[in-house]
Amino acid sequence: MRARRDPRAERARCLVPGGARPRLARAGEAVVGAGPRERAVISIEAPAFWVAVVVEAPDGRLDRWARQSVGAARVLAGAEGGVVALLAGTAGGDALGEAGADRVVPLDGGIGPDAMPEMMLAALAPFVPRHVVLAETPAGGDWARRLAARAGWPIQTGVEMLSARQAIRPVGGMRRERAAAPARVLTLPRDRVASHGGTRREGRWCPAPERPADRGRMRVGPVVTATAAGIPLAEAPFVMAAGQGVVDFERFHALSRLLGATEGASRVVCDAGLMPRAAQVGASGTVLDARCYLAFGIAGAPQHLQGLGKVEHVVAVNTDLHAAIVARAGLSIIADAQAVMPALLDLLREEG
Amino acid sequence: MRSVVLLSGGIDPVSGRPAPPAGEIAAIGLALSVGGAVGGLHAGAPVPALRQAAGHGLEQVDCLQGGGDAVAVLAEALFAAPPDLVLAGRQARGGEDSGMLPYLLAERLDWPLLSGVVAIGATAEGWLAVTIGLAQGARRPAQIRLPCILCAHDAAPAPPFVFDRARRAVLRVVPVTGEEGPGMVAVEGTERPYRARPRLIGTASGGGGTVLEHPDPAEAARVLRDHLRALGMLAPPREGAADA
Ligand SMILES: Cc1cc2nc3c(=O)[nH]c(=O)nc-3n(C[C@H](O)[C@H](O)[C@H](O)COP(=O)(O)OP(=O)(O)OC[C@H]3O[C@@H](n4cnc5c(N)ncnc54)[C@H](O)[C@@H]3O)c2cc1C
Repeated sequence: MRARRDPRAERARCLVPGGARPRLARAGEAVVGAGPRERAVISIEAPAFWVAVVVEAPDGRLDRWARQSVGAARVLAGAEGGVVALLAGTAGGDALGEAGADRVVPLDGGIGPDAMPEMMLAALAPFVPRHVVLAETPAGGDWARRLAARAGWPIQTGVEMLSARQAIRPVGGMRRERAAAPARVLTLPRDRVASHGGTRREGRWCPAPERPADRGRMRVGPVVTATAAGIPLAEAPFVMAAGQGVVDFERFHALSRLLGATEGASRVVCDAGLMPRAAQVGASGTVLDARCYLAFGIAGAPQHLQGLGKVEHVVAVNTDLHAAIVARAGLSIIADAQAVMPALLDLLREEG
Repeated sequence: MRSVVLLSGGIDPVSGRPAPPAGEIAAIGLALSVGGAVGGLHAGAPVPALRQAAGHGLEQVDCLQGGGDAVAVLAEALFAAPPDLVLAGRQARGGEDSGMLPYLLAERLDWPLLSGVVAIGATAEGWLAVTIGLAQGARRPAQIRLPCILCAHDAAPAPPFVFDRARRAVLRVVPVTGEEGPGMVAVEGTERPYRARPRLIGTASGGGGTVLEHPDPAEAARVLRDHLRALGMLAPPREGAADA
């Protein structure tokens, strides 16, 4: 059976998320035909029950994982429930409504892990949520366990499949799995539940909870981010890689320093001894966990692309419009890497 | 300084053979880095994986046999002879694997807990300095009041395995009276062999992206800079930058 066409959805796809303006088409020109229009927003006053989600946005943006945890809360809320997001960080105005939250409660970011369960319980108290969802990040996984231990709530960690009725998680050393009704607290690994794709929700801001008294048992200092060169390739958030198309390595290194990117390379480049073996990206090298991958002169062989499985944004600079990497990239520049690298260097230096 | 490392037994996820989880070996490494007396503690009967864990640097592992709830049994043993420091892995491998035990124990003993510890520093006036490992190579210094519970980061340096040490390690059985506690919440649901499910693939840029054909280099550089900035990979321009 052929799927019925949905002209509204087709038009919506031609707009950037939020629908403010048309997005650029592959060929570079704008898709036309859709003027500005009212954005649909669902707002909900008194849902049958609440599902809470704790969202981390340390640098003011919601990453994919954070959106997926809000999506998981929406799955658990179904049609009747509402989603309240506890925001640890500073995501701006609409982002959480877009991601599917009906209410937003800001949490004091400066608070240490010891006081976190009290603060979460204070924020959750008016909502009496049926479930609390957290991403299984280093901080999120820690908060979830502290909350479950403090409140005496059952918890399912590392849920790999979720519906409103059941949650499935591995047990017994990843050799067995258990399916059960979703518990009070759930933690979510990356890329297991889709983020909210439906109509945006109101994301109404609610007052922050009182800051609980510090128990004076631990002092946590500021986060020290690693320098790009010091991060292991597998952990690096931003990787800039060279393939056969790069000959000017002096400029390549200068650019990676200026961008604050960790360096990677294709196998051919490592084989030639132009980059260390530790920099090899791909099936027989390192599998990346980066948010952004900037590829200069890389064809995108299947063995290379295997290393990009988890990368969110790929950007390619290549002379060949038909290179495989171009099909994987969110932005491709069909140009000579030796010309683009110095131009970008100049531009960034000019900015200071 | 006396440290106790909590050992869970555990199996290797691939072969199913007894093997200690990486986090517990890392915990042994952290305990050894502090110095002083280091012992292992296990709630349950002696199992082969404990001997393997001991091969990474423990002379003795106490096995609390006969008890009911693991949290209650461990809390009682630690309360009777309190060490300065209790170390654990991130999560067990072979049982419930939820990583909850140290947290429930901390709650029960009313001790502070920090997780993701990659290194331990010096003690001063009852405070212990530790380093916490975060995602993407970031680190965070912290201080915690003793006695405390620390969960090791899986990537904390692991001490080498010495076969002779494993062979000579003493697994001491300590009988305890079985007392049921509220500790671990009972689990329901159906259990079955694990089924690997594919992860979702990133939709953010799954192909079909913008293509810029043969721009002049300055134009390409500008587009690249703006794109990287929009992705949050590049700091926003400084005030009064040339062409903002
Ligand atoms: C068993 C096996 C395992 C492998 N494992 C890996 C692995 O782990 N990692 C890996 O990377 N490879 C691996 N390979 C090799 C892989 O198949 C490719 O050969 C390799 O990735 C190609 O590298 P490349 O893209 O740099 O080079 P090429 O294939 O030579 O591509 C160069 C690209 O640069 C472009 N270009 C040329 N000049 C310019 C210019 N001036 N400016 C801009 N662009 C330019 C070209 O259009 C082309 O697209 C493996 C192969 C095998 C058989």
